[in-house]
This record gives sequence, C-alpha cells and structure tokens, in this order.
Amino acid sequence: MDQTERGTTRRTEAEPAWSAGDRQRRNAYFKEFIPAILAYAVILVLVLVLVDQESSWAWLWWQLPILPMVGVGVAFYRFLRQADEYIRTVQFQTMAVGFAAGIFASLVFGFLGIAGITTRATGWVVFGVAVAAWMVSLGWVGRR
Amino acid sequence: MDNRLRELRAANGWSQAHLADLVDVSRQTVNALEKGRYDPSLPLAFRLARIFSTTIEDLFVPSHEDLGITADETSVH
Repeated sequence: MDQTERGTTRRTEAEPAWSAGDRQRRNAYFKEFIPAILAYAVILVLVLVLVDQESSWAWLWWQLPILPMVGVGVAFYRFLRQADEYIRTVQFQTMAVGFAAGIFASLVFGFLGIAGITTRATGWVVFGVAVAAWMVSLGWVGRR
Repeated sequence: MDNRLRELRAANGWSQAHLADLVDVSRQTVNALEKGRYDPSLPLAFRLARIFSTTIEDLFVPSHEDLGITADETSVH
C-alpha cells in the first residue's frame, strides 16, 4: 500500500484486493444471491406479461415476486453471519442510514397524503430512497 | 487508537490480504484497522497480538482520549 498526498491509501500491484477468505465468503454469498435474484427477475417478467390486471386475483399474482426475495434475504443474512465484526458494523451502520432515510421519506409522503396529494408509487419511492441511502452510505464508507 | 499493525505487517513481508486470512477477517477490515478507522474487539486484538507474537499493549497505543485523560490532566503530567 502507498500513502497518497491526502493520507489515503491505494493498492499496489502486489496488494490483492481480496483475501482467500474474502473470495470464499463472496462466492458463498453469490451462490445463494444470484439464483434468487434471477428467479425474482423471471417471475417479475412473467407476472408483468401474463397477469390480467383487471383480474380479481391480480393482487395475489403480484405477491409472487416476493417469494424469491425471501431467498435474497436469506443469502444476505448468511453473508452477515459469515462477515467479520468490522464488515458487520459497517453494514448495520449503513442500513441504519437507509432505515432513517426510508422513515423520513414515508413521513414526507404521509404528510403529502394528509394534504390530499397521493401517488400509487409511494411504497416504491420509500423503498427506493431507503435502498439508495443504504447503498450510497455503503459506497461512501468503502471509499474512505 | 493508534497501532503498529502496518509496521509489523511490513516487517513480516505480509500483504493485507495475507494478514486478513491469518486472523480470519476481510482485507477491508485490516485496512480499516491500519488506518485507525476501526478499533477491534478484544478477541480480534488478542488474535492480532498472537499472530505478531506480541502483546495487545505493544500493538495498540491508546490516545489520551481513549484513556479518559483530560487536557488539564495532560498539562499537569
């Protein structure tokens, strides 16, 4: 590792980005995450294409994409269980940022709703804000 | 908290990734420890001290703030 002018470090050719343990943990995570997210994508496309939106059962079919997301959740839970204390701390701190952003967004939409301004996408916006805040803070910590 | 991790790792000719595997943490964690951005738990501190055949006190150097010593006490000493 070299010291840069700003006091941060950069890896040299000799410094691998991943340790053997890192690769093992990453592969174990991807082995569970990738099939689950692919299943999610396939089911989502099938529901989009095949489900009659006027059907009285449409609400039930639209719950199907949630099933593979349980697999994503399990994969992430196992990743956290295998992660070391620093990685776990960073994940929990950045998830807290995402949670706070989600709470704030839901509060904004709550008050907009009281004012008579409602949208069908409220849930997705709150979800997007929470995930985006989580990912941005994770990226910020990773770059430090 | 300051530490001698980088110094001792370099003295052994190890990469961060190699040290990470020796103490069963990620390379990112070793990097955070070396930069002083993260203070390890006692079990991890003991593992690191063992790997370098030294003591926790030799490896980690607490600041006055870590020791709870105020600026006034520092000036007295």
